Amino acid sequence: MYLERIENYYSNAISGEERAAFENDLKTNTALATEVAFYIQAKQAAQAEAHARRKAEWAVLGKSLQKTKQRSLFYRYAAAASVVLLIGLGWLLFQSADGYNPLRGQGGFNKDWAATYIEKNFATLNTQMSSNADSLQMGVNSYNTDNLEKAQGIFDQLLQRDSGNAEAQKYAGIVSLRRGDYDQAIEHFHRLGLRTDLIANPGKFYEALALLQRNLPLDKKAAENLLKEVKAAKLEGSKEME
Amino acid sequence: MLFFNKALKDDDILQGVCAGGTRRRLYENKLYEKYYYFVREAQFKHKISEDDAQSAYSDAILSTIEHILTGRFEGRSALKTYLYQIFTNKCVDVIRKNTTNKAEVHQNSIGLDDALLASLPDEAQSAVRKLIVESEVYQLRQHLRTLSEKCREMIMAWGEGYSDEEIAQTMNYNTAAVAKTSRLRCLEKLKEQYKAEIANSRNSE
Repeated sequence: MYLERIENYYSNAISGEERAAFENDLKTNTALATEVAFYIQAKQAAQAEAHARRKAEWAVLGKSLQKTKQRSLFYRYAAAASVVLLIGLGWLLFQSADGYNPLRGQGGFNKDWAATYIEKNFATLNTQMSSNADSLQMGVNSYNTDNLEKAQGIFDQLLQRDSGNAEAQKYAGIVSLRRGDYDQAIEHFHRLGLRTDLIANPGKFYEALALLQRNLPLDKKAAENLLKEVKAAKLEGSKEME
Repeated sequence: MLFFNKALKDDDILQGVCAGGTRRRLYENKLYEKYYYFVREAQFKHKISEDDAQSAYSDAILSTIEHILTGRFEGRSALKTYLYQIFTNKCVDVIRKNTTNKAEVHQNSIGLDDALLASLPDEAQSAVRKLIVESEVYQLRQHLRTLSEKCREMIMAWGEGYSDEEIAQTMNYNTAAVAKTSRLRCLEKLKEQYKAEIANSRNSE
């Protein structure tokens, strides 16, 4: 009955006068007031129903958002892991890449090559004249008669007494190498290689051989670096590499 | 891919909601999605269930939208902050409800701040208020569900604040006036049904 009038009042579709009349009416016209009460509550009810439906829709949306978020998180982690993997691979490749290798085309300087060289050249020792000829000779003799332990002892002792004895250093390294004590051999040859006062210094070359024999990770790389140095500076042993 | 989406700006959301019609619905959903992460945070912070947090969040979104449409949200604070404050209050309500075990019987009871009621001048207002019975909204909702789908849709759209123009567009009426007439007829139907029920219950007393 009054709904249209109420509607017009609330949508401001009437003049100021009509508004005042309406508001006056409300005070006395119970039927009108009742319908206004209905109108207001109907709108409330309508909003409540609409909101309930919206909430139900959003509950579903929320679930799918969670799933989407989990999926996108998965992709993010996967992407990060891939990047890490790629970096790792790249590093590995870089490590094994030779770049400019002066040893290229010279055959493989590897463990087998080192073993062959050692067998060929370190079967026996030659002596040289020096002030400690007796001890040195004794060591050499022991070595040449396969008394490796005794030879090691003699050379080590010599070194203890005279740490600057290049010959003893060399022989001590060779005995260690023959005995399979690569760590010790590397140590001796390294010290020898550091010396700058010798005419022919096989230290670096022999150290490379020992490294190739020991063959721990990164030993091959270290040996190659030494051999590059030997070749570049034409140190003792470079002829063996041709 | 999902994680290359740029976040939607609050200003765009506000514009979209105020645009009305189908854009409003779309941007309401976008708003919902944008700050949905509040729900998870609230679960941990307030130690409430996911369902409670989600319900509180939906309520907060609905309140925020209403405030945007009625101009109550003036833009003096950021939309995110505004929403977050409402949401926090809703969470507190949940905690209170859970701890005191006092269930609100009619969550949709006419509050003192009902806009339509409040817009009446004092004397008229009290005349109307006397006639308002709390339980009526609940019953009206029941009756609403028994109406035809068309009537129900129209009345619900009206309840959400859509104009007759917007209703006409979405529901394929020729003009706003036609939509309005149709809607009022539906309201009349609802009123009759409701009156009939009251009459019946009075008769049976």
